[in-house]
Amino acid sequence: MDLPRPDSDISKLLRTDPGGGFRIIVERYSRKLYWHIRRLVILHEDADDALQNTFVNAWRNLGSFRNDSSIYTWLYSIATNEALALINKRNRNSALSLDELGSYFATAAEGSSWFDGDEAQIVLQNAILSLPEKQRIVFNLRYYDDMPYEEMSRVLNTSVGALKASYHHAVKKVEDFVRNG
Amino acid sequence: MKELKDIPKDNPFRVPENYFEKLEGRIISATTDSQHKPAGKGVIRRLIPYLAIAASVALLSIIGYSVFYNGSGLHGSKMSPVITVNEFTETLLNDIDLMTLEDKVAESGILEGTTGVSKGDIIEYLISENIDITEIYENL
Repeated sequence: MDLPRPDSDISKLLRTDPGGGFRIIVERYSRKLYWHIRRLVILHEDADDALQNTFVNAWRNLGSFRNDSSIYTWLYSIATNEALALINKRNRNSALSLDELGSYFATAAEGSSWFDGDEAQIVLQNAILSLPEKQRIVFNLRYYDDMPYEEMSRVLNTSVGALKASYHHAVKKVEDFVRNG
Repeated sequence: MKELKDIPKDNPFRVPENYFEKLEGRIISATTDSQHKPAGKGVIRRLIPYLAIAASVALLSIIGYSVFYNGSGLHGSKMSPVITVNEFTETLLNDIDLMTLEDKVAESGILEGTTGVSKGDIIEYLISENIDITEIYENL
């Protein structure tokens, strides 16, 4: 059985065989990044678009990838930016704003969408949606991905202390929402 | 009444059938169709000669402007800032969020030397005491 290559090996491979190295990156990170983006943009079609853009941008900018950050951190940064760009674009076009997504969960239980959570899950997702943008990202990365604060600090370019405070407040807000929801 | 800890961390989102099986192939074909940029060959590098000329012109303009105004004694009330520092701070604080506040406090080094209690704890405590963020920023 092949052992998974560490990121440092992939970084080296990217210099000698960019196509081969990039294929390994896609295999390793596409699912993780999809779920990270999906929790932020909610809709599957949007997540799919943002994920494609993430990898296209990563591929185009392979030359500027520096080994002082890990591939994981680099990709999460690009994916987060792509998701936020999509959310902002959606808000500008107001085709489907974040507020309207609340009703998405309310109707999702009735079927036909890519969401099959129970009533408690709908309340939780609505609670997460009620958070300010930055807190929502921090909450998702910590609560679902268990991302260490140090890693998150590099992804979001924010101090560890600020992230801890942000997560603490996000959890309190979500708990209040769930309790009263 | 439900609690957050009672809700399982299950993923309630779903994807179309075979989505992940086809995903990698789609990404690979989408990416290998486009070229990646070799290091250091970006737009900025090509624009460097033009940027250098623009910077030189701007520098000469600034020097000329300064010499003219200093020489003419026109540096007075016209050169004063249009808003006061207090007005600027108030404007800034209206928009400041918690993460920015934390970063600003960290940058300022105000809390250096405090032992045992982190800056996050202090800010958190003050916020829990319903102290206004603006006030915390001004007094810390």
